[in-house]
Amino acid sequence: MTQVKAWAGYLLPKLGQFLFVVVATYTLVFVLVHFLPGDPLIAALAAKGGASTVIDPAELDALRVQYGLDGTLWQQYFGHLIAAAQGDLGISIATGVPVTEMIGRAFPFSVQIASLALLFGVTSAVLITFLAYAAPWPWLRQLLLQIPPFGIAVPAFLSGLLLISVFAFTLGWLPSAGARSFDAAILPAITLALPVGALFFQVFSSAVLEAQNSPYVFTAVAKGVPPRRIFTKHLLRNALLPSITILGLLIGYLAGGTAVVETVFSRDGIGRMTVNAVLARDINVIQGVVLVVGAIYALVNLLVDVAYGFIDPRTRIGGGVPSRARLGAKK
Amino acid sequence: MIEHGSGAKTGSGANSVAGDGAAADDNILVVRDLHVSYATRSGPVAAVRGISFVVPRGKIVAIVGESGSGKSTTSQALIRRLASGGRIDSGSIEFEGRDLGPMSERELRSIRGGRIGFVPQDPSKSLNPLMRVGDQIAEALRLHLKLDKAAAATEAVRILAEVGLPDPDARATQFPHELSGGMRQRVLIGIAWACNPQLVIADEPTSALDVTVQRHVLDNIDELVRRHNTSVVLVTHDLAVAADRADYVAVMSNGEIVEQGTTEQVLSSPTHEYTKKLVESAPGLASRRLTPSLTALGEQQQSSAGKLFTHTRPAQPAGSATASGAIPAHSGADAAGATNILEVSNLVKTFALRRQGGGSQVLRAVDDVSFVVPRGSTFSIVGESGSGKTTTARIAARIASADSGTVSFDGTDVTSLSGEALRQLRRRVQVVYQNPFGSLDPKMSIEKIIAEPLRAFRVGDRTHRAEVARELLEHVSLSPSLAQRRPTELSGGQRQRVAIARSLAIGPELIVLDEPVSALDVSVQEQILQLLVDLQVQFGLSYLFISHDLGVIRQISDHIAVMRSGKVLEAGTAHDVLANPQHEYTRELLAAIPGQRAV
Repeated sequence: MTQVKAWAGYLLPKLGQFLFVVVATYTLVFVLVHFLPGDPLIAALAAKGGASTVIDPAELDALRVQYGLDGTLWQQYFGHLIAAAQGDLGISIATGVPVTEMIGRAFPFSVQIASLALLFGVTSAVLITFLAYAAPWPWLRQLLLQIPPFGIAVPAFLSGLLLISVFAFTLGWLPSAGARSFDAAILPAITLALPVGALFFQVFSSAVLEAQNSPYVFTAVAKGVPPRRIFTKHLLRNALLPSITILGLLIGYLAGGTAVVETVFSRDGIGRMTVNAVLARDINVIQGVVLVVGAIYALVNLLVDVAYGFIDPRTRIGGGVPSRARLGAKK
Repeated sequence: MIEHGSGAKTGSGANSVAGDGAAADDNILVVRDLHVSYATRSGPVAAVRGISFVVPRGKIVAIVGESGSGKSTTSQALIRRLASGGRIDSGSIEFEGRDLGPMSERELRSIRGGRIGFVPQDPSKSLNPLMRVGDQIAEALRLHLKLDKAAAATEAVRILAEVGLPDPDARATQFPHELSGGMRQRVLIGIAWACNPQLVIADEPTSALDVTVQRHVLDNIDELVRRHNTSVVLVTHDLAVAADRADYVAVMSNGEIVEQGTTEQVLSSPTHEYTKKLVESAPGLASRRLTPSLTALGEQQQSSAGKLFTHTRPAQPAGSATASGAIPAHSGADAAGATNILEVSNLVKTFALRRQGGGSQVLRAVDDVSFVVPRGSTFSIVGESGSGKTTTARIAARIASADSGTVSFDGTDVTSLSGEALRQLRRRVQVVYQNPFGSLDPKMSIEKIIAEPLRAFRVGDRTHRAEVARELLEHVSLSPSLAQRRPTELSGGQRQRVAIARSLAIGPELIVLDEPVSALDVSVQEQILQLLVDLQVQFGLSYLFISHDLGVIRQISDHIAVMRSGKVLEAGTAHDVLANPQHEYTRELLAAIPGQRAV
């Protein structure tokens, strides 16, 4: 019972934060879109049919109703919010397809490359860090530590094109474009993994190298623990603590990164859809995408907070320790 | 018996400290002409310069030295694990007849933890925070004794019981942050002894612990040594601890062993200058109230003859500084003043502790504390960590505020002063902190640091303030040529002198000294205490002195209050409390002072 209470006390404020982030994101986008100069619907129709499009005012009113752009701003604000809560994000002005459906269709492609990128990035960051940790010579360690920053320095459209020309055109191992097969996800995922992995590496490797000089690692060495076990049992989890925090930030980065990568590799996905929506001033799609990405971002950060509680016993919530013993422990 | 490292290169260097009768086989560890250096940007720096010593089977050999003496480097070199940049340049470390130097890492790993245990320095950081303590012991058992998971877990619980942890079953499943410092050190001792090693190296095993805890932990080590017939290298800065526990003592200074022999030999008839100095200054060994040095008394008389001396405050001669005119006189110099400079009564301070997962608990950090500090004397509060002594001092200095109770300074109630009135109180009450590394702004010159209080109170112009700073430097026995240096260029003792000079700048009447010497080496400790005693006479200061160390307290106090858990258990004159303690806890504290067995 006290456990449940403790968890509730821990989670409820976090859930509140989550909801706040989502609503704030929605509000911000709503304000941005509606306070851009010009009527959003006319702008969208103009983008669709050319600048000289002539629309009958009655038809325009009908379209307003169809796309949920009628009524006062307050009505629109709350109307959209309530509809969004029920899973209805309106209809795309450019395509006439419900936004939920569009996102639902594009989402899996983006999730595929984003999660692959995260996997590649984090794995190689951990791997390079381990190699640097185990490197017998200081120069090799320095060299290994200098590699990842390149991942940030090289822009995705350049590294993407390089990868295409080498692995798709010259070697012919992997397809250069499309989203139909799993193969096609690998090159975009690697392109996206470079900056993501590099960012993760910066935090993780410095945490490892710092922890390496810590007294508890000395204790482990004095115990006779071999280096690989020291890394997995003692360093890894301790160094993951600060690194997990930036995982949340990386999700935000990934959302932006997909836009470039999906364009370079001509893949369907959320990123490319957003780019198209912005070009077409398709405000319903823009709002929907931002809302969904914002919600995912907030959700990941919520999960990171919860994960913290599991990984770090110092912040653990009532976890499995005899309370009698805890009371006995001084300070 | 003295053995200078430089003379040991011939190879006969490792003549035994164990006495001449001991055969070579009886020595578990033989160190010959060991040289260790660290690579720095400006080239290699020698940390250990040709030391030789032996550790006989089943005996405790203490390596005693102050910070920077190379004793910790030595302990790390013994398991060939130096901090980054460190390397063993030459010499041999023979453990059970085999040199560790040329051994492969793999072979070393079977020795580390298996046959040589290591008790590290800082129990708060030396355990993996994310691993249950039982698992941390079991890890060594599984590596070296090849026990399976269940057997190792059972054995770990047995070891926890052996090192004296109550309720070992439950403790084994806890994480380090759930244990107290003493318990953590016991866990580390358990790890060191887990695989029944022949040799254990203990690097300052108790210096982070309270004195009563230190005693129990050392007793525990003694018992393990006896039961398992383990040899121990005990590295410590505390000569008194070595005197109590070790069979042999090697004194290190500047990377060399300057003297070694049986504990009795070294302590009772030290031959080397440095050892003599160390024996003299060890607070536990030589305990008496320090008296003002002759020069301080001379200055007092000189100032008595000075024109500004006011007979109205006999306990507070205005001091030579007033005579010279550079340092401002006390604001109340001409007033008669109350006999008690400070009176606090019924202080209560509570903190709300946030328990894990909601709910809170109230900690009474200071619980109905009252005392008076007579003018011109030293009132000391002694207690262990968590006793509330520092909180009490902070309230007395009006840095923190109490929940209830009153603080009156020089007969005036200052409990609820705020704003400018409180700021003006700072002219009369100053504080010196424990950590001279943290309490001085590293970006400011020494002169600026000392003159800062003057600047804050707009006393004098720039040249005048510089003059005062230089004069104060002389008063704290530092060369005025240091005025333009930065704190980082100074040693710990020098920094603390600067902190004291700063507290004197504005001419206070009361100085609150919060553990002013506990971060310093023993020989420096005594110098600072002597300085404080001298300054007290020169400037007619009153001290509120906080310390955990009864040895230090004994050297400086006129009155003593013993605190535990926020309460004053006992208070009285220094003589009464120390010679005739009434409270059980005071007796325990006195008994725990190391250095009583040997003398």
